[in-house]
Amino acid sequence: MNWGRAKSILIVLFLITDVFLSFVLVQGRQAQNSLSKEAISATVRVLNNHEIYVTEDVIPRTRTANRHVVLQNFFASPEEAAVIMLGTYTVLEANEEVHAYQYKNEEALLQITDAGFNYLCSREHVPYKLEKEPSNKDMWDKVSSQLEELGFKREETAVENERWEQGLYHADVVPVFEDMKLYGISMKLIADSHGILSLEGAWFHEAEAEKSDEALLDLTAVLTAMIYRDDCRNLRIASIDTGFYIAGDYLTSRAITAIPVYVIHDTDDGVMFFDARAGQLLARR
Amino acid sequence: MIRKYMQNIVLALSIFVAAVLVYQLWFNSYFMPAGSDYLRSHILSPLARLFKQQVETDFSEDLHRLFRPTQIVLQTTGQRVVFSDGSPHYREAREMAGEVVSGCLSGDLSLKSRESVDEETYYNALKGKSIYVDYGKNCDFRLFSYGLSGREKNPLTEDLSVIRGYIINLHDGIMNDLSLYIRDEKSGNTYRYMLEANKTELSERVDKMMASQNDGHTSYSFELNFHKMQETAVSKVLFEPRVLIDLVPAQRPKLERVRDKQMDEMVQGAGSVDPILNSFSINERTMRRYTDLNNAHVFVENNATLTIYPEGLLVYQAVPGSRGLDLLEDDNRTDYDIYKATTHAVQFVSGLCNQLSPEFFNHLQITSHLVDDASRPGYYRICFDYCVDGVSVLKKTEAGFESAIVVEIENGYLQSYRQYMDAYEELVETQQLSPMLSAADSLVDSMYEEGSPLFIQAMTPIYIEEADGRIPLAWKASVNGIEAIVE
Repeated sequence: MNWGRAKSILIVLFLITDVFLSFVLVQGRQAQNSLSKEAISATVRVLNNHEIYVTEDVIPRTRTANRHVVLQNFFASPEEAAVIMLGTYTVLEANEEVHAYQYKNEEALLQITDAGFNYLCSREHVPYKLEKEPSNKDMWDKVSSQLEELGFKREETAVENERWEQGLYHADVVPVFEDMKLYGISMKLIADSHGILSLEGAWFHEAEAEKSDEALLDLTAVLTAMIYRDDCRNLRIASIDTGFYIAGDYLTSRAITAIPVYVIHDTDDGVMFFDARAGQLLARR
Repeated sequence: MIRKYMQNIVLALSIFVAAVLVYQLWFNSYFMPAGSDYLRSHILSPLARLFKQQVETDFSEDLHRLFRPTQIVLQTTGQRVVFSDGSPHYREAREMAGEVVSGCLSGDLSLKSRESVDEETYYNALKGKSIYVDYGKNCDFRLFSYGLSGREKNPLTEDLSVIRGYIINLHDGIMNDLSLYIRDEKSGNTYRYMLEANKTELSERVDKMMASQNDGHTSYSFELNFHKMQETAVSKVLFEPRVLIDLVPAQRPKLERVRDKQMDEMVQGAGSVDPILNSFSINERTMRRYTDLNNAHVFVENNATLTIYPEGLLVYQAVPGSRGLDLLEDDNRTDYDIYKATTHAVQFVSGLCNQLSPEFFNHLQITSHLVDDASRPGYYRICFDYCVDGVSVLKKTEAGFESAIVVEIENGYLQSYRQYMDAYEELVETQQLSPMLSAADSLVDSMYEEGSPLFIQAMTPIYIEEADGRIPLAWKASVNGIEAIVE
């Protein structure tokens, strides 16, 4: 038998098989990682028929991987947090039983309780004059570098609800993980022309993602389930994001797990958070 | 030559790539939707189970292991020996007595006669050549019967609903018959059952067991008249007639607390808690998880919360107003009674412990009364104590003295589950238990009210684990129906 020829034929056959299998695998993976156009169109039709208004371009096609994000409470160890934020300080109060701590230096006072923290600068307020108020972007650039000095990394922070009141800049600082916002945690920031005046709220950092083998519910399934909700009548969906969410009940924890969510923004600035694993509505603003 | 060599390599590579691609496709396709998990759960695990020895026991065996007599008293003329759990001949004595009773319950030993007797006859049976098995707590007779014989109903079912123990008398009546005395704790009636049995072998076994033992210094309360009001003096305390009064202080080994490595990792958050989550059917898709400021790991579901505390405490608590884990396999919740509740509690504890630590399960004993409570139908609180040689180890906490496991079930739903995941080992050193009567005096000092004597229904030695880690001996008493601890 001419083994050489036989081998050549086998090589060709296997190479063709490999190319074919690769093609099927890539196609399959692509289909797995994104929603089909037909599914999206059908969903939009169903929603519109039930007085929930959305367009196809609003619904993201890419499927999100199922991940939990585990975060550590920045203030779980109050002394460490004080060192990071104040540097040197004196201790005004340190009550472990009720988890109440106060630290002070020349520049600021830091209060930590199990409900959150409060950072107050000691200096006088110097508000901007109306005509000299910088743009939100510039102001955020300025305060975010100061936040970095206080231990809040720039790449882990994002800003929301920016507004000006009597020359003072107000905003909500929210944590970010891999360009996705972690909803449910925030710090209220107030700044003047010299920088940060106060910070108040809760903060978690050192996020680590834990992947799960189970796939998330398709966004189309979550949207379709909205037709059974009475509170979604005449809803007009402006945009849809993916993110992570932590319920307010757990903000006093040492470590928490943020769950993946679909965030649906409507045209009236309302926001709905749906658990991307099981589809239930977690919160509505 | 080189060409052939290259050909072989290319062929081998192309075959390998094809195999890899096929593997990738299979484990991410309709054939195996959950990937390797599907292969594991639907093919490999069932195959493994075929070859694996069955280690799961059934309810009857589990109940027999968990519900054990507090003491077994062998009595012959002039000699009385008490075997408690952990004594060298306890197991043999229990088997010996159990064979007689299970024979009667299963019908293997037929009944010659059945009659009601008075209290005096019952206590006199204790004085003759006898075996007295005392469980120290009340038990629904169906459960007792099932644990001993694997049957719920038997020739004695009509007479008995709640029992605490039984007496086997070897020389009863004129005919020196073998008889069984059982008192129904609910009605107060006592029954004597004469059995068709060859008592010679049993008698010889009793004699043999007694021969190797020293006489104890125990007396029943009725023998000392501690069960009756005195005529000449005010009685501040009365004992249940069957309580054995030991006048000699006992020596018992000291204990130290240990924790299984796997359990320790779980508690510290380093190990997988999947076995626990699976046992409580916590849905990983919908649960939320966090670590609180005290380093307790908390898993929150819609209906319940599971918390694993760093001190080794596991707590499952249904959300108030909602039902917890459904323990019923069918939906038949009618006539949910102690029998069903105990079945579910034992199965749940056995299942969870087999996942965490089978050795831990071997030390558990049910210590609560297994009876229906008319004041709260459908609700049951069943306690499992960790025991070392039959002596319970309780934890002293701010909430009081806690058993190793406490299960609360309501109409088939698990409302609450608390488990301390600690085990205990004996040390070489020993410690002395204070005399029982001294403990009774302490109870009088703390609980006695003028004109109302304390009625002590039971007294058993226990270990108490203090907050500082010491584990001294103490007494646990059931006084006027309330549990009291004398440290």
